[in-house]
Amino acid sequence: MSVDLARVLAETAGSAFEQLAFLMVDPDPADPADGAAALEPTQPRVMPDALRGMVVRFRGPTHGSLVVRADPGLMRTIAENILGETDDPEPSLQLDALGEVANVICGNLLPLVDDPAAEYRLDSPLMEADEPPIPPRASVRLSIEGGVAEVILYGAVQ
Amino acid sequence: MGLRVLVVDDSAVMRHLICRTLRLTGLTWDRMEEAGDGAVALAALAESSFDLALVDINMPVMDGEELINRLRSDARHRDMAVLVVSTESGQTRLARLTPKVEGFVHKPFSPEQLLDQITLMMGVPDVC
Repeated sequence: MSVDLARVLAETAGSAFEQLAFLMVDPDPADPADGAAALEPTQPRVMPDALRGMVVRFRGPTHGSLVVRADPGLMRTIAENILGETDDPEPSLQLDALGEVANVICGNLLPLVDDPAAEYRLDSPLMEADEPPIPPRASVRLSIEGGVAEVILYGAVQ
Repeated sequence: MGLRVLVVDDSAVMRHLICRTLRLTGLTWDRMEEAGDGAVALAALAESSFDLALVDINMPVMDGEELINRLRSDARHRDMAVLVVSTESGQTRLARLTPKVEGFVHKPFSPEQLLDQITLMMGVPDVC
């Protein structure tokens, strides 16, 4: 896995969480990606059963998908912050909010890791079902204000 | 008289965020409607007139680019201001869209960025 790709993924994801959901990625001085830990493709996730994911598929010169997973508390906080409401948004809105985070990360990431002139079509975010039977190109785990998120790029780009 | 705005985005939370931000602009809004894709937006436009449409690009059924093309080829909507609010960053598509719209706000955006762009397009709000 390219360390630089993981770094770009972490920075793009951090920016999306900060600007869209007003959440700061917790700094991690031990990690060069500043708050994000790059996951190796075969590395087990910390809490796979507790994380729920939304996936955005993209098509263009290359194709693939971007997955964002978050623990239940972080999902609720993301939705509350985007909606500007604090009374436990319904689950469909929490998924919608996480999907929009995935959409923003994906849309901003592709021009950074591919030809900026390339045209990509992004599908609407869907709930993650099964992981693609291929290793991710890059993945990072983010610690965000007490919660955990994973951002994973499958396929495409170098 | 207030403005009539149509917010077109496939994400309900993003439509909510945009509408909430619009209410903070200081502009007076007569009507604020939402559509989840371009086809729904066209149906709304067939029923009502709007001064401003905020349009996402990547949407199911009918995407924002097709919606904008249809609006610009329809004399009834040619004068409606269109602001693209999207993650779209591809230079080719942006170059194609730019002449057809009045503005572009990139996601993620701050409330101030959206407010500034709307104010630039629609005029200074009538508040102190």
